[in-house]
Amino acid sequence: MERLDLRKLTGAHLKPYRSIDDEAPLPDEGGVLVSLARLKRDRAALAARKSPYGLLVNGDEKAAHLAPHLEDLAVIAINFGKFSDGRGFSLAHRLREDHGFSGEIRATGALIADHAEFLLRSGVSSVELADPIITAQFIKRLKLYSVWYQDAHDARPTALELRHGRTRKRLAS
Amino acid sequence: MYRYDDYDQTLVNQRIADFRDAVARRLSGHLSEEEFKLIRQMNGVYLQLHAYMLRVAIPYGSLDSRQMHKLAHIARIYDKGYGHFTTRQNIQYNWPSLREMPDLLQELAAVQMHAIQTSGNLIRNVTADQYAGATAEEVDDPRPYAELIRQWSTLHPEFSFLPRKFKIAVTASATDRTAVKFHDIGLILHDDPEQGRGFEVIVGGGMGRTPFVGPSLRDHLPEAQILTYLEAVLRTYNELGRRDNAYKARIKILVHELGAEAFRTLVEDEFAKLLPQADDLPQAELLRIRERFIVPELDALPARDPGFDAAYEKDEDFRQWVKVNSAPHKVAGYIIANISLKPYGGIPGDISADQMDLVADLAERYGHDEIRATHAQNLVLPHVKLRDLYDIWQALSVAGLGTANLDRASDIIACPGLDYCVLANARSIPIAQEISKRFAAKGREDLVGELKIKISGCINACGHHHAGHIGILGVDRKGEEMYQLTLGGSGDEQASIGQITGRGFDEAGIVDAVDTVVETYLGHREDHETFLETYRRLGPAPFKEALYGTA
Repeated sequence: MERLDLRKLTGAHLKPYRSIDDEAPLPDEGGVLVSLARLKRDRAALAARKSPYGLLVNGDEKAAHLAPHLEDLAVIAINFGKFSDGRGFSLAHRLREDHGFSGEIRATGALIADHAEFLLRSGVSSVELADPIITAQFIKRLKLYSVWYQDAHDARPTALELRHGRTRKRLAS
Repeated sequence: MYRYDDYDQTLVNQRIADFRDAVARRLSGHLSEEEFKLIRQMNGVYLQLHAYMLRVAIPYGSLDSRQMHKLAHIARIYDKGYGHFTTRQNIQYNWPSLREMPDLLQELAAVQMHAIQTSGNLIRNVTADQYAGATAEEVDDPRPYAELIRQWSTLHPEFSFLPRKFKIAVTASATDRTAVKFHDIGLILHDDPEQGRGFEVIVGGGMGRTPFVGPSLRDHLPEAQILTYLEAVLRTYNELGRRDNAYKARIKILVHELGAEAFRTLVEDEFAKLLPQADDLPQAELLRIRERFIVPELDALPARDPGFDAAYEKDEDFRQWVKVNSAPHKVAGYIIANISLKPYGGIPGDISADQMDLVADLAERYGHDEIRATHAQNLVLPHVKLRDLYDIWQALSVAGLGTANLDRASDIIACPGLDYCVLANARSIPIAQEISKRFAAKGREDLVGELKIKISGCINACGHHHAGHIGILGVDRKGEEMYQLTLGGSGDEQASIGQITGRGFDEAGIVDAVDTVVETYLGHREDHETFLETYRRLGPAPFKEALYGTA
């Protein structure tokens, strides 16, 4: 996995995607996010467009339900309904680990700066935040930490690697 | 004692910087109280009835004299001169101000302590047997495994926003002093003659509104796979645990609703999937952790000490304390000394700054610099020489720490209750104090023998009443504090949940009811039966009759 560029992670650098309701027409241009139901229904129409598309799912969605569609998707946006609901972290983890999804995983919804490290280390690669102040706090937070215990989905070394000079199986594979 | 390396220290320091920033954002209004709550809880800060409370982690209950002196210092500078040991081997301070909290945490970090994950819906401080490293009963010292789990669970990327709190205990002894079967995950270390070293894994035990003795999910899990198995359990829980009702959100409810077999299948499927890719627990890391534990170098001593024998012979009070509060050490000439934080009529678990300093001094001078906190809200000097015990006891006695009541009726576990807690329905502390006074008369506790009384001020059961031989639960009945009585619970290796006797009692009535239960036991016991043995033989009938009449 490539090293994350903090500047492109969130804020104004995010690639724009419009979330399209199930019944609304698809716009001619621009990236879109659709529900799983819409994806199944309008797959051909989505593929015929020239712009990238992705899924918008809730944190409690099952990764296995998304698995058949992963190859087509540029992005999977995980909506965190409540900031205390941690299911989205496991979903991101499963998409990367169980299903080998290498596209963008974007976190959106009720997020605060304090989620920063947890999101990135669970496999999320971009984050949509409510306003520039939270964005600034979010980036600041990522610069606060330099060491972690668990092997995770970002490329920064863990305490275990630093202590023993070893490489993770997960990253090595 | 595990000593931090630079990485451990760096992480704690960075977490404080992060929390300092969060406090600033809260004080400047950039974080709502609801958002801040999530963050402060992950850092050990509660909002109580009257003030913020800080719960400091004492991983697996182990600390040294330098750390205990620091806890005393914090009690003096940031609190009202005392602290309160909890049922999770932690200590909490009831009166520090939010503004000072980051500075307080920085002081703790200077002695390799923190308050990370002592609250919130995540993996809490890992607990372990307080006699670890000192008892001959154990397979091995369980604390290196507990430290491994502490590190693995600290700021875990995926498991820091769980449906509810998550408690893990580790023990390696035949005698269970950790209430291992009442934990979200309980790990029992063993050496199997054929399969080698591993753990029995208990999942889904707990107290609270719906108590369960946890079922065993695995008889034998190889030690190298422990973190992978924990990951499988936690992922299953994170995804499937209920989030619609806080009272039904613990893993015990998930295990119960699915059934232990179905839950086991889910976990084993996930585990099997992880195993080929898994980073097995590297032996090098376990070895590194073991090496960073300071193992005291104990002297070769004769099994008996003439000075000890003479004091034991001559001083009746000392003899009584040794009989009740000490336990055998694995090394000849040494003994495990329990320090009761339950003086008659006192507040269970409370300790003054001066008392903390004294315990620290004694540990440094006589105890190989080791102190333990227990889940029963007492302290232990795990490695003391028989020949020093009389000096230690005299010093403790002068300071009000010499009460000889370990596992006796007055060694009561009590939650903070309505005196401090926002959740409580009733006061726990005054009930504990009144009951304790009833057993202060010389000789009465000797007559009664082992008896564990546990008091919770609400159904959340922080005072472990379900596991009390005698349990007391405070309830609110039309604005009045009432107390239900349960009998026959136990938190040991033969864990059981206490049964409610019948209608509740008021504040004075509950103290009398405990007396009645004890007298009934004394009237019915055979030979040397303990209270629990008598209760298990007779069942509730004679006790109910004594409490409520034959009707």
